[in-house]
Amino acid sequence: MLEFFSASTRMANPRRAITECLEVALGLDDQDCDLVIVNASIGHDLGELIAQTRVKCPSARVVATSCAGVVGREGVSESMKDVALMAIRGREFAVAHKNGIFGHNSFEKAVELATALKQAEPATSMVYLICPGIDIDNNGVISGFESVFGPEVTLFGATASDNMRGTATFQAVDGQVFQHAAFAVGFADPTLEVDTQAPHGFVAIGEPLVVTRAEGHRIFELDGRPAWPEYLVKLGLPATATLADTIPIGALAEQLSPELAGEYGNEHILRVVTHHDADGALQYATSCAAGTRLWLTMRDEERIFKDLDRLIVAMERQARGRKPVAVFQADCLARGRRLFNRIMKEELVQRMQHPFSTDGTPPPWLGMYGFGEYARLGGANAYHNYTTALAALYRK
Amino acid sequence: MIDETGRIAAPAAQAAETRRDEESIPKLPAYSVIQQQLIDARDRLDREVTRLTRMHAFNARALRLDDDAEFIQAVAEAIVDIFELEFGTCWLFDDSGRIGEPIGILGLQAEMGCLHEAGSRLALSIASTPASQRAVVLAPEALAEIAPGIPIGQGIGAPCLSADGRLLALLAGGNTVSGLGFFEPATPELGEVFSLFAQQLAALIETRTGRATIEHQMTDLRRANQRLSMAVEVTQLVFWELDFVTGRLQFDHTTLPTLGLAANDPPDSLQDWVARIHPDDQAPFAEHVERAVIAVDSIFDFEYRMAYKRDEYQWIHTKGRIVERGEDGQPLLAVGTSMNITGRKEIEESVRTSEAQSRNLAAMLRLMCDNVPDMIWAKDLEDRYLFANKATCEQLLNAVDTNEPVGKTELDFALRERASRPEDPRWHTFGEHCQNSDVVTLVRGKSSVFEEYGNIKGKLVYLDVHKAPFRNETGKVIGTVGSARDISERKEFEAELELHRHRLEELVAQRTAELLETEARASHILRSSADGLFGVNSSGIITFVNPAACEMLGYQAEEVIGQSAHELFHHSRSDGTPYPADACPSHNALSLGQMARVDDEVYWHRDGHAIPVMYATHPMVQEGKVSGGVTSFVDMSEQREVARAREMALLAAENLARARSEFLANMSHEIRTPLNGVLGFAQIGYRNCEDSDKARNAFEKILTSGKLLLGIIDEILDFSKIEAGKLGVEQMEVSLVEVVGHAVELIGDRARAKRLEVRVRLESDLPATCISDPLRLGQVLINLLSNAVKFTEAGSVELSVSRQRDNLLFRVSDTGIGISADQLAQLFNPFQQADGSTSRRFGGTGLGLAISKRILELMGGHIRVESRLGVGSTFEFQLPYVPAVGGTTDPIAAPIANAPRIDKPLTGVTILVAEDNLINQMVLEETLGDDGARVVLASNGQEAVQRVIRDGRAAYDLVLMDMQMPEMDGLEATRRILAFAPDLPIIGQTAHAFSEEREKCFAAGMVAHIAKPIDPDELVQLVQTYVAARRGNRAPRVPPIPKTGNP
Repeated sequence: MLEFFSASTRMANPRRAITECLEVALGLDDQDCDLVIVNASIGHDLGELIAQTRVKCPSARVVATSCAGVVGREGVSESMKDVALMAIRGREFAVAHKNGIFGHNSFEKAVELATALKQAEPATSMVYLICPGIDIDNNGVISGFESVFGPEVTLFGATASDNMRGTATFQAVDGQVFQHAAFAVGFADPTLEVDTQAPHGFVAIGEPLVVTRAEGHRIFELDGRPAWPEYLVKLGLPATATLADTIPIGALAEQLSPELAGEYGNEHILRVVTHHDADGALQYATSCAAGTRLWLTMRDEERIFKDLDRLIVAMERQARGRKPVAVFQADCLARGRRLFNRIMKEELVQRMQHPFSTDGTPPPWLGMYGFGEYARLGGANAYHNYTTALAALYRK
Repeated sequence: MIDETGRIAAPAAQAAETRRDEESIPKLPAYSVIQQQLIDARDRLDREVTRLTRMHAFNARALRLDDDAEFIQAVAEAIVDIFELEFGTCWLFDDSGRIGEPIGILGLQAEMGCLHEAGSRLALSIASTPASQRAVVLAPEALAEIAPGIPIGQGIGAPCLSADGRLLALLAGGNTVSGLGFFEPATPELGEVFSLFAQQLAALIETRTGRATIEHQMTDLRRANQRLSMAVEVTQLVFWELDFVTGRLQFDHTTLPTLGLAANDPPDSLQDWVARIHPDDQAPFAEHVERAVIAVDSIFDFEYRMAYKRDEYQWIHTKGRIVERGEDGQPLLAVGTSMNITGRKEIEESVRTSEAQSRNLAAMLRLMCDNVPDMIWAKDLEDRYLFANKATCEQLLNAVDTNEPVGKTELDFALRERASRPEDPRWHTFGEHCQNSDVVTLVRGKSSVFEEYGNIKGKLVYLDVHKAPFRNETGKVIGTVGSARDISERKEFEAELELHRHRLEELVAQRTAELLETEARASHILRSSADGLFGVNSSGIITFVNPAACEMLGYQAEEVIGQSAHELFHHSRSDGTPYPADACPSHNALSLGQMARVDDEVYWHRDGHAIPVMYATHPMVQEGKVSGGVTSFVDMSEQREVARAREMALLAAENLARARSEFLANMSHEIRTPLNGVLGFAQIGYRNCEDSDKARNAFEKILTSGKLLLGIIDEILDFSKIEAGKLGVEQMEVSLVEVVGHAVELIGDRARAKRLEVRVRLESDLPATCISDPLRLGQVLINLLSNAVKFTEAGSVELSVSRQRDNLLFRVSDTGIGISADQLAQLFNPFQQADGSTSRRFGGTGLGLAISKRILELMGGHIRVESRLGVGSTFEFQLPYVPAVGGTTDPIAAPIANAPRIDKPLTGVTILVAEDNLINQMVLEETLGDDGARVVLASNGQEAVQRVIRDGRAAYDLVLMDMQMPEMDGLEATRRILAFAPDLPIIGQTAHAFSEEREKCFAAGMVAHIAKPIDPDELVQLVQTYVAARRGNRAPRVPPIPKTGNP
């Protein structure tokens, strides 16, 4: 039976950061465990963090991802030197990874990854998934996984990120650090089940932009014009604007079917632009066919809070009085300090953690600010942007 | 919600604001940008606040870091943390302006030497800038000069200066080239905060330095105080000061208890002090004081007793001197110390007491030594006596008294003795032939024992001498001490004993040689034995083992001897389970004193493999008790392997036979099924083609050929069963008339076709019934009769049956071609006919007679043949006659007669036929229909059950049931039908030709069984029999005899 332990800290020294987290999570006596999942701000060297983790936990598999900030039981932090980790004891899991995953081969690589995971642990019932945040087709990733596991196995997790610059994102498995790898942790504890939710709280505005030329996840033209310049124009940004300037205000909305919209609490699902190429093409988070209509959006703080409350209510209903044994949170980096001030951010996290807490103490909690989030929608797995996605693991 | 233009309608929750939103949509992106700028500004403010908070937290933490290395590393980490730069570095400078070690660094890989140089260059670079006290943002070119080889893309540096402008430390932070994509740029704005941090750090370093200096001085002072306190505490000195003018005596009161005086009741004047002195010491004390007062520079030094309790005193040693006098020479001030010397005085007293005790002890020792018979002495390193007791003086030295030897050597006395008897050189020779035991003792450095001998006063004396080094109180060796005892008498006795021992040893050696010879012979026998042999004692411990046993078990003899035989190689059974010693026959042989022999156990080889052995254990009995046992064993591996191989071969042969039998059974089934169709339709055709001779002839040939083929299959099948040992014979009541009649009937057509006369003669004493196997008996008779018809072209065939005492005698004679003598010898061998041409001419497998012979043998009978070529043959066989229980032994009365065939014998009979094979359905429908029956078809068992239930119990006179059918097989269908209609006769039909099949039919409740291919006449007869029985409400007496050749 799997057991979960978490901790987070902001600390410049990677060895001390890991040591402190493990001591907080597992106590001073015995910090060895079977799996450690690390989220670290982009300013940390994942290699150093993993090396120290393996010193402290010689028996453990270690996976890590870069992000723009972390959330833990201790709260939220978005510096360049944040670390959060989830230490797990128990054998009912497997880890697999595949390097060299890009937008053009996302489906094939996801099939390979899922196949390897299934071979390692056929009883996998839920998957914690981390993919690169840049140059990735997340629809392809999900399709690849579902072609192996079927839609009934829940995917949760995120795409890695940097600090919103769109330069590079990193993933690490045991001793190796990658820039274009995906890793998956398959949980096969028969006593566990998972519930996921992901609201965003944005509203679509104005007339849609029409994708007039695209290939896979790359959009070359919007409304017949080169995509990146047109995107900046529509956003009201100068031509010199950077990706970091666009992300907070540049969420693009795709329309959902009425059935999905009802469940989602919003008629649109949002997508982020994670990179733009020298030829003016946008790197979209999922595949996007020509003819797709994309709306600009506006953030609505009131709605963000309301949707978050709706998420909590839905998850409490699903919990049926139980407290989760662990919570994995994936937040869009655009919902961090570029959206809320520190006090609001902490209030949001407090609102999320309070219903899951016991005597004021949240359950083991591992969160990150990444480029995108995996959570279920309409009875299948889905990819989201600009959301807060929670995956709560309960004992059956 | 999208309208027809593709515009998004406002969300329902915001319906009230829809109009306003639509109006503001064109402005919304710009609004978003402005809103974002506000958020970003707020974020920057948040981050600056955070930065200052973390600086404060760093200061608080750094103040607690005493170790320089920890401190400087914390500074480097703070640069990275507070300014969110990729790396941070801090150099500390000493008073002479040189970089000290260690250097704090985080986030940058660089060698210490490079860092030293970079620090020096950075210090120079900053010093050369106009505002050298501020932070400097360094361009890439400047960085390349400061830190060549380190890929720094951006940097910022700042000095930490003391209040007097001295460089205390240097800070630097920045980003590498690869980190520029992620980390904050080092901007002038950042430089301002960096400067502030550097200033704070300078103050912090100065604070650390000042605090360190004070702490150093305080530490020295604390140490000096500690040393003084320790000195006073150790010496127990009391300092005092006497003012002669006031008479006041002053002390450090805290030290008074060391003198036994209470700190709260100090003597405050010289008079008060003197009053506490022991009365006997007061006057001398006063004299010493007076002398010190009078004589200039005189020192008062006196030891005396002073009361510390009532009538209890301690010794005090006071020293002092006048340190100040008046102009008139009168003393004004004296100082000095007093010390409690009670302990020392007690030691001195103890020493005195000890010396007196030592003297007493010496006198006592002298007395004791002089009154013991042993000699005792002590010598110095020059062998001069220090001490000699009375016995030494009298027995060894012949000294005048115990004082004489002191200072003299033993040689002095020996020379004196020899001088007294110059005529007798052997008068005193003691010690001359022995080693110098004093030297030996000193060399050894420990107590030693010697035996010394020689003449004393003409008599040979042996002494048992004990010597030891003589050490003083410091452990230094100063001589030897010794004692000796005269053992001359004991030596004489020992010499006598030695003589006896020597004789005894010679005797033992002689006996031993004899025993060894015996053992050698026994050992040779053991070694030469091919069987394993080992002996054990009564505890099962191996006492001997022969080479053959060692070789078989894989051990060396020395590894085995002394070990428990059971635990070493008999610990487990052949299946690996533990073998308790209590259950071991060898063990029991020892405990019961009875021989044990076992041939199905294993011993375990040293390498772990099991050795099948046959062993026998014989107990060895001595004086009525089992003293051990001898086990001989043989490795049975080869024998077991041979036996196993034989079993395997047998098993393989059985498997082969079983496989062959199953194959033949299947083949039989596969051939019979289509053959059933062929024969059935041939029969139908034959019956219905009366008008066409040609067609009838053709159908007749098909029938003949088919039946021939069927006969061949049956014979091969029977033979294979016989070969596999699977052919069994049954024991049941048999009507001989029926069996014989049936056989004759079957060959009747062929005999008539050849115009042969067939005669049957049943003797009058032949019983009507007996116990036998009707099937097999009929089979043999048909075979013999068929052969007779086959090989007879003209004349007759005769079957006679008679009883001869306990046997039944069957004889088949013909007037056929006959058999030669040579052919007779091979006649009953399988696949043999009279000659090869016989097969070609008459056909057949050549198995019939072989099968008949084997069947008869199985039935306890035998067969023989007589024949003459061209005249004819007679086959005769006998079977044991077993009367039927309760059956009649009356002879049969009626001769056999073929019943005339009736047209449409089944008219009025309704038969339900359950058969899944379409061809067979047609055959049965035609066959039974031709004989007048109404046939209702069901394609499987389930349909048959449904038909009976639907149509009612009385709807059918009989059911003909196939065995293997889809949906529901015939056995299950039979059980269900009989549950509904218990009196409905059901006849089974199957293509499997085994008796097991027939038994299954009967077990399911069927009344009869008929094998495929179905003989129409036999079928009709069966149907008639059971229909008649049902209508008469009675069952046939015995099951009708099945078709020929169908076992």
